Order: sequence, then structure tokens, then C-alpha cells
Amino acid sequence: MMKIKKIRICGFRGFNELREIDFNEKLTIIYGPNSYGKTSISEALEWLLMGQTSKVEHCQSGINEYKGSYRNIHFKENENAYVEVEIVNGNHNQILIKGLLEPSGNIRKFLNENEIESWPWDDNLDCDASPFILQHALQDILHSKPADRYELFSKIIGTKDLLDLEKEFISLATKYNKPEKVEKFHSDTSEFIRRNSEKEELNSVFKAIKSLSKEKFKEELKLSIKQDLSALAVENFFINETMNNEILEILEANKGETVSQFFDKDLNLKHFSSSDDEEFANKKEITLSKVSNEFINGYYDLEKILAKKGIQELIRFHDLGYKLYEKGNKSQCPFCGTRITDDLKKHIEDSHENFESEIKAFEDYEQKRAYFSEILDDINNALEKIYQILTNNLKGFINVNNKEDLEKIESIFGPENIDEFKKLSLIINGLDTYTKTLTSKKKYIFESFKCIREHFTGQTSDKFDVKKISSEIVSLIAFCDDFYNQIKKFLDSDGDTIIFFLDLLDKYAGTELLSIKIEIVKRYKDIIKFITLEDLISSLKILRSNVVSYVNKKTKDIIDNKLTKDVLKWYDLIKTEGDPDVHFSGFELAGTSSRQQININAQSYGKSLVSAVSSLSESKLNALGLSVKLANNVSTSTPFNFLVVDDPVQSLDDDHSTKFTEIIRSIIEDHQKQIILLSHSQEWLKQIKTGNLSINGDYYEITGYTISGPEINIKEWCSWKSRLLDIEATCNDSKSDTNRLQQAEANLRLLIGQIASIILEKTSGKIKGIDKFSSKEVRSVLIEAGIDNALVDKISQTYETIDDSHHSPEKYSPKSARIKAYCSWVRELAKSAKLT
Amino acid sequence: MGLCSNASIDIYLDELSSEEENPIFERIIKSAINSEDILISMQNEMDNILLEVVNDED
Repeated sequence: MMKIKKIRICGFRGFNELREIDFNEKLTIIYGPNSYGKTSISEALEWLLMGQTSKVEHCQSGINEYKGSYRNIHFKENENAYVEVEIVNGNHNQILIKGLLEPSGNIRKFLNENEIESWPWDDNLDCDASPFILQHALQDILHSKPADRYELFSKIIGTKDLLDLEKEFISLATKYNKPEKVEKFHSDTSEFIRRNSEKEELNSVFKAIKSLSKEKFKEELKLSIKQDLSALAVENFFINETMNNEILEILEANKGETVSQFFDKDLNLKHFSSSDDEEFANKKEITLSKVSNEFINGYYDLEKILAKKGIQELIRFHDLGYKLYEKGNKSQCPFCGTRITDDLKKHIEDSHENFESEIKAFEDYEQKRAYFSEILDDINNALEKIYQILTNNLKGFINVNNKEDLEKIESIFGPENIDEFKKLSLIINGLDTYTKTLTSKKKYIFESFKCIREHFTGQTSDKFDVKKISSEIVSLIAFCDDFYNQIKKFLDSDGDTIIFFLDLLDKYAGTELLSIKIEIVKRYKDIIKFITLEDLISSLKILRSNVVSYVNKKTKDIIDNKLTKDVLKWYDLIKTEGDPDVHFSGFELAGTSSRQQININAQSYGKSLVSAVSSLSESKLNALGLSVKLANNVSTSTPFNFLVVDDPVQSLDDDHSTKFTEIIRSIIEDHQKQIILLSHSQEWLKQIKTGNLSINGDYYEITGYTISGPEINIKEWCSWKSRLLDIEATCNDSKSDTNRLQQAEANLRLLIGQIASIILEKTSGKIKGIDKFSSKEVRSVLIEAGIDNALVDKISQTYETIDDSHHSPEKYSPKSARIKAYCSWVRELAKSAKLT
Repeated sequence: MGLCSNASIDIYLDELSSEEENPIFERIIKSAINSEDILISMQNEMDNILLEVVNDED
């Protein structure tokens, strides 16, 4: 909980040269005529602590209007403008906070001279916890349109988070974009539904899909395929996938039977499934990784071992010789008995060891051959799978690439569709060519593999250029890629031609309806998913509506109850007794959920008025605006334990001004807040000071303004005479209660301190704050000034009594007669000290 | 924290999710708690929900 001790401003707004202002821990008042740089002080504080001033924030014409305006126009070019404050926190630690104003207008932040990125309180300011009540700030709220007021109030009362939250959910419901995969799935299925939903016979099925009812869809589909299936099959429908596949087979068989009267081939050309896509990529990767390394190295490894196979016989011969040599005790030749010399013995032993390792290598051969065979199997299988993925769907389609079938197809298209037919025959021909090339390339590779295997099992002695075979395989993979993309391209760019042809064929064979039914059954799971997706996406609107209701309920509770209660508490303090009974009576959240507004209600003698804004006087509206700001600042949990109040209202009538004086005291004493009050109205400030004599704050006057900045001078809070008269008036007022008398006592203590301070300055030139004297110090100052001892005793006793009074037992109560007696002694002291 | 409210967005989200009966909505709201960008988190969660539907093999 921070209070401000001192501010230094240099080069900021109206301050060219450095100025320092000390702030009283309770109340500091700064008077300055308009345009004398008074507001630059509150702006400097606001800029430093909040990052920007509310003048810039609320600027209708945009921030650019104020660009560069923070820096004083006359300030030296090469120097850094800055605002620095000394803060005292709740633990009485002193903290130095400094903001350096960069030429760009940005702020560089320093905490105890260490540069930081953000202030410790930045993250906690999630609503308008600003401790600044500034000029015209209240007009924004009260004179705005009711709907705009909703947003403005939300900032003040901390419900902006709720509004932001609501906006996020509205964005989710209105601007949500499906992920690419979902979008593709959704649009494919949607397109299928759109293309076929006009078929009258299947109208009820598609209607059920559009109504997003899975059960109805299932029922309607059952009904529609009933005539094509046996009763038993229909009953089994949708129980599990296997059964559905069996049913699909029946439907396809029905269709096949009909179509086979015209064609005996499956002429459909389907898109690759996502598992096809994955497997295609996976098998390509396996092939390329094995062929570039393991295949070539494995081959040469085996070939190397095989080259030594010729020495096998020799090894056997030598092995026999070595056994005989061992049998002859290694000392004589087993054949001729000649003695074996040591050199020869060594030669025999070394040679034997060599042969042993050769034998070992040959034993490894079988193991290596088996491993190499596995590599060939892996490449073989991967290529076979790629081949299947590419050609499986095409078989029937490309088999019509013969004169007889193409003529039949041409007749189905008819002369009116001859261009479409030509396009289709080009596609068929193209894909057939691709398939044939692929088959031939694959055949070459597979035959090469077969020969290599035979070579290593000793069936042939041919050697192979495996690098060439490897590059053939790599080129085959590139060809497969091309083929794969061609099929996709045909389906994407020329898909309509193929569909057109299949539709024609269906019409020709009379299987149109059956084809759609087959397609629906095939897509059954996808359609169920589609319904689920549609349902989920549209349900976001329900989520939005739930959130809007929640936010409205929450906000209404806050505005109608808590805000009204808190503001009324302050408004009741400000409102004057003599007013006609036309008063603010509360806030109310109204309007529709999509267009909220905040009404400001008023009542007159128990009857509701149309609106407070139109019914209340300017002065009462100002009082209400102040109440809103005060309620917010005092109730809000904020790190700032001070309020900066800068000419908040230009017009408060006398009665409201007096009330405001009491409020200032309440904020300081009841809420322990520090107040820095700035105004152009000397009269009003005088009233505040007089009403808060016992607080004895600091009072500054801006007495002039030059190019170097405002001339700020500290002035006396009030004269000792005014203070004495105020105390006497309180004592003479029969209505003064204990509370006022206690304030008079506190004020009397300050009065004695003030007189002691004047005497001290006169006698020794020393300056001491009027609230800084102990009773001993008062006594010493008075004796040194030559005051009569008896009077010194009386004054010291008075000072001690009132100094201790706030530590007195509860039964102690100040008495006006006693205070009056004290006042007479103070008068005597002033006379004796020759104070004027 | 303002005059009448001391709740943060996360507290509101928590309260909203506990009031929500629809498990999908609850999931979307919960995804936003403690996230830096509420909208992006909710959109990501919605993406996940829809992808789960599309990828579901059963």
C-alpha cells in the first residue's frame, strides 16, 4: 500500500527545469490558476504509474494528437526527461520509482535505480484501479449514451473482464474456422449430400441428415434399402461393421449383376484414403532408406566372401595336413618324416591361423546372406504395396482401354457429350500407360532381385551392377510419385468427368438409385460423423448464449446491488439536507442480452423519475460522479494508498463543497488514504484547509509560470490566529459533539506547535514542522524566548495533556470549558511572544 | 479488481465450467483457464474435439 513522499519532475509537460514537491502523508493541497502547470503534476504521476495519462487515453481524436506532448518543448535536446517519485510502502520501506521519457514517447522504468520491464503492480491492475480523479473524468460516465455507459462502467467497477470474456465466446461462436482435415472431410461429405439430396426417392434420408438426427437417418436409410435386401439383412444393418460390409456386398452384387449386362468391369475410380496416403509415404521411405545403403553394402559384403569360396578345397586339404602335423607331435613331416625346423613350425602355425579366419568368414556368409535376403524382401514388399495402392482402384477403369469397350463407352456418352468422352478416354489411356510402365519397371526390379538371390545361393555366377539397380529403384519411386500425383490430379481436376461418366453408366444400366444407396452405406460412418460435427459446430451458439446469460446475471447483480449500495453510501454523504428531494436512487442494468445499457435512476419524494441525468442539477450530477469515483477508489483493492484529485468538478455549489470537505477528512481518517488535491479555486481550497485544520497538511501555491516551469512555493496551512479562532468557535458552538471537540484538541496541539515553530525561527532561525515538537521541546523553546515560567508551565501542561489525550482511557472526553481555558493561555503566550 | 468484483477471468471461467452441464462446453471452457490467449485455447480445444470425431475409427 503505497503513499507518495516526494516527486521530482524534469522536462515533462509544463516542467522544463527540475522541480521537487514533498507530499504530506495525509493531505497535500496545490493551488494554481488555470494553465500554470498544476495539471502537469497529476499527469506526471499518472504517466509514471499508469503508463499513460487519461487525457491521452480518452482522446477522441486518437493518440497521435498527443504524440510527443509529454516532453517539454523547451527541454534540452540531449537530456532525458524524467519523473521520479519516492514512495513509502506498507512496511515503511522507501522505494524510488523513476520513469525516463524516451524521444519516442515510450517510458523506461527504473525501480530503485534498476531498470525493469514492468512495474510490480502492472499485472494486478485488471480494472480501473486508477487513483486519479481528474478534470472532466466524470463527464465521460454520466453524459455518455446508456449503451456506451455499460462499457465505461464495466471499466470502473471491474466487470470489464466479464465483458472481454463474453467477447471471446462470441468470437468463438461466430468466427471459428475448422482445422484443414475437418474442413476437407466436412466439405467432401457436404458435397456428397448436396449432390444427391434432390433424388426424390431418397428425400427422407437426406432430410434426416439435415435435421441432424442420427436415429432418424438410420431408420430412413433402413427403409430405403429394405427393398434391395432380405428382411434379415435389413435387421442386421448398423449392428457392426462386418455386417454392414456384408450388406454392402449384397447391394454391390445387385448392382454388379445389373451393370454386368453392359460392362463386366468395375469402372469406379476412387480417391486415395488417408491410410493409403500414409502407407504410400511410409513404403517409399522404407525403400529409399534400404536401397541407398544396406542393399549396396550387403551385396558387396557377400560378393567379397563369395570370391574366396574357391579356396575351400585348399582349406580342406590344409586342414587334413594340419591334423596329420598335429598327430606327428608337430616335430616331423607326417609324409616324409623330415624334421620340422622352428622357422617352418612358425610358418605352419601362422598359415593355419590364417586359414582358420578364412573358414570363420565363410561360416558368416550364410548368416549375412539371410540378412541380405531380408533386405531384398523388405524392398520387394514395399514396392509391391506401392504398386497395389496405385493400381488396385484402376484395374477395372483401365481395362476398358480397348477398342470394343471404348466404343461402348462412347455410345453411352452419346454424340452430345463427345468432348467429355474424349477427355475420359485420354484419362483412361494416360493411366493405362502409367500402369504398364510401372508394371514393367517393377518386373525388372523383381527379376533382378530373383537373379541376385540365385547368384548368392550358387545357382549362377553372374555378377550385378547393384548401383545401377539401386538407381533404377530410386527412379521407380520418383515415377510412382508422379503416377500418384497424376491419379490425384485426374480425380481433382477431372473428377467431374469421371462422376459424369459413372452417372451416365448408372442411368444406362438403371442403377442410379442403387449407386447412391451404396455410396450412403459406404459413407454411413462418415455421415454419422458429419452429423456429429454439424451438431458440435452449431452448438457453439448455445455455448455463447449460456455465457452471455452468465455475464448478464453476474453484471446485473454487481450493478443493481453492490455498485448502487457503494455509490449511494458516498452520495448520501455529499448530498445536502436543504436540497429538494430529487436524488439519485441507484443503477440498473437494462436492455436486451445483445444490447445492454445502464440506467441511472432518480427519485423525487418516493416517485421514480425518468432518469437521473435529466432530473438532477449539474451540481448533484457532479456529486454523483464524484461518488462513483470515490466508491471505486476507496473500495477497490489497489496497491495505491493515495488519491490524486485534480479539479474534479468545475462547479460544486457551496453546500456540496462543504460536504466534500467532510468527505476528504473521512477518506484520510477512516480509510487512511493520502490525498493530493489540486485546484484552481483558491476559495474552495481555503474551505478544505479550514475544514481540516487538525490534519494540518502541506499547502503549495503556484505563484507564477516562466519558461523554466511553474514557480511552486510552500505556504502556511493557516495562520495561528485562524487556527485559534477556529478552536474557540468550536468550543462556543453548543452543537459541537465529542468528535468535533476532539478535533479541536488536536488542532490546539498543532496551534501550540505552530507558535513554538514561529518563536524558534525568530530566536534561532531554525525551521521545524509544527507537528514535530515534543512537550519538552516546546518548553525549551519558550524558556529560551524568555517567556514567563508560570506561563511556560501552563502551556507545557496543556501540550502534554492534549498530547496524551488520544492515549487516554475510553471514559476521557474533551470538555469545551477546559479547551477554552487552554485557548486563553495560548492567547497570553502569543501576546508575551509579541506575535502579530 | 474493481469496486464490486474481485474475480479474475480464470475464476469466472472456473465458475462457468462448474455450472456447465454439457461436457463438451465444459471441456472448451476449462481449456481457457490459465491460458494466455483464451480465444486461441478454446479454438484449439474445439479443433481437438472435431478432429477426434473425424479420426474416430469406431
